[in-house]
Amino acid sequence: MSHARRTLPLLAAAVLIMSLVLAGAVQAEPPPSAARYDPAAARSAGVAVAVTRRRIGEQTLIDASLPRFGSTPIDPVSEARRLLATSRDGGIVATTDSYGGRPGALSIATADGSLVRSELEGVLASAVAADGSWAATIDGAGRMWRVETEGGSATRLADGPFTAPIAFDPDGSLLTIAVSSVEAPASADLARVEPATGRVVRLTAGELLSGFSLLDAGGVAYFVSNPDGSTSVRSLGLGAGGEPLADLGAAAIHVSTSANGRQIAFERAGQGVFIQERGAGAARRISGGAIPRVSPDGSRVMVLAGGGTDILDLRGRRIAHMASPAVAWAGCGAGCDR
Amino acid sequence: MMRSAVRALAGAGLLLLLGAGSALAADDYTLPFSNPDVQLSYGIDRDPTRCRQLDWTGQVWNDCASHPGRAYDNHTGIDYPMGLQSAVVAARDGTVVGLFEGYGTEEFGSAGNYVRVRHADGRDSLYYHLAQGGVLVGINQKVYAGQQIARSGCSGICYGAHLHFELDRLVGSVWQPSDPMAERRWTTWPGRVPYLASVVRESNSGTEVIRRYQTVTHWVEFRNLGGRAWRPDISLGRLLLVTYDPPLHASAFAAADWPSSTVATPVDAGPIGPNGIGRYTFGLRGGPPPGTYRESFNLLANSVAWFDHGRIGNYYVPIVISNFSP
Repeated sequence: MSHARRTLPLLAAAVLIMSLVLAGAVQAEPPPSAARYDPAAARSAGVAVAVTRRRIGEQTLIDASLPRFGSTPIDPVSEARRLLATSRDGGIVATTDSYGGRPGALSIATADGSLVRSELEGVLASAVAADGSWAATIDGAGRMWRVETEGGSATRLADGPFTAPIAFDPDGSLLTIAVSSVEAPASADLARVEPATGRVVRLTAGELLSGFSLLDAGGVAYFVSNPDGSTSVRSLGLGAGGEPLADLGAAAIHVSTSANGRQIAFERAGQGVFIQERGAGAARRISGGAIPRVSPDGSRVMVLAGGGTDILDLRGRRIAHMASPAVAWAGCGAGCDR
Repeated sequence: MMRSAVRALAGAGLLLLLGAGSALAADDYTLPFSNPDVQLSYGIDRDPTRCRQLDWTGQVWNDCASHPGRAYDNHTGIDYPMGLQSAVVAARDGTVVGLFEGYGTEEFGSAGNYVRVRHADGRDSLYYHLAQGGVLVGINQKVYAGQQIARSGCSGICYGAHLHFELDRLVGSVWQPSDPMAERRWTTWPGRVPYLASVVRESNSGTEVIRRYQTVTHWVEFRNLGGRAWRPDISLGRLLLVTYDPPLHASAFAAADWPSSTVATPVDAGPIGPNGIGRYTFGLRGGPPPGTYRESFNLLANSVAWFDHGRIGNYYVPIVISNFSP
């Protein structure tokens, strides 16, 4: 065989291999780095998250003391948003270093004080699986990750893009919002994602959702931004779709519902917190403050106020005050046992 | 005969194409703000593949990195950094088809404040990250190019105050981003703010001395530094020279040729395209008692879009009314 005839196939093979390598290099991104801390190491490194559970009537609160990063003054809204998710009993807590910051790390703290950190590209939302073994997390680019509670390693579930919130349906699938763009969504639809396959099924079409709440019996209440600037609440259940629950009017944000969907809390820009009880007439203002969250049983509302968190009854009377803004309702209600 | 007929048809076709192009260019898009000092930070990524980017120049980036002045991965619009509460203007005539203004001006979160406008070419323009309460138009309202429709903010997924401007077009049943830069959709290249001018010269750059009850004719020429053509009639881009400081005050010097006590004159002739010079000729009547005065004027487009008075040198005419002995 001549020199040329030997060389050409080798050259072709080299070009092919180089192309494959380059293609692989383009497609393959390094996984987010992960680190695990035992309780002492977490405290020493300044990343420890301290969690306290408090009983308020028949409901249980998770009060999280979050580590400080940097010296910027604490903004209660941003601080509250750093508490991303808790397990049902509050034994596992997912937080981020800075809501709205980049690169942004996800921390998953367990009841014994140990903690794992995953260096994601910003964190928008997280939800802890029922068995506590992993957290579904949406990063700043709208990608969905599976982050192991044990070691913090992250594997990508779906590219999306998606945005907050994210929640586990009782059947183990994930509910979230699929958007046309993370930065400026022209459409934002409720979507179901199968964790095992990453398959995405849109449950609404061409809407502009600002959030949703899980309801009892497998339903979902979702919040729609209408073209005229008003917000509507609709429900989606097995075999049914888009049933209207309430119209909240203009500039209604941070909508939250009880587990049965009967109590709906929201904030109206510059006017405070309102409660809309289905079948009970118009919404009524119950307090100032921001970011209302209805307790699962619908009897209480927590709002950001005075740099911390007020716990109110449905008439707006203050029952308790927490110094921290990073507070959440535990899903176990009165049944949280430890 | 056949050949000449073909040539005639070809020529007519060419003229038609040229004419159509000019009309499209004149009625296409201008920048969605009025401050000419604003620069883009990131353009659109036209490649939907994760970590592969096609920017507005046609350059391909095989990475997930951000490229200032070009694009970042999966970016669907154009980012223009600007201070909070800056004026956001319609990029083209259209109708408001969506809005929201409830989120905090700098509230980071999955949704932000916005306005969406639908245009005659079937595209929608989207103005995102607006200030709380910063939407200045209502649903179904018709807006003119250059009309202020909002104030900017940093609401939503926003890492620094800027306007996210996006053009979308319907492909089948799905709205997809359309790149005004790659597609050369601006009325000029590069794109310009809609309305901007500078004084070129005037009939009398000094003090107009007017005998009481007499009228003098004054004219001023402005160069069109914006992207919209100026027209004298009731149509797209109608330009009027009006009183200013305060805006639209009834002038004591209004002459008989003024359309009203607040409007000195439309542009003399048009259209005056970008870079062209438009003359505004109007009378000044010595109505007030003898003394020294100044009358301020500004340009107003479509009765809704003010020019930046500072950028036309805070234009005014110094006037002296002299004694009159009949």
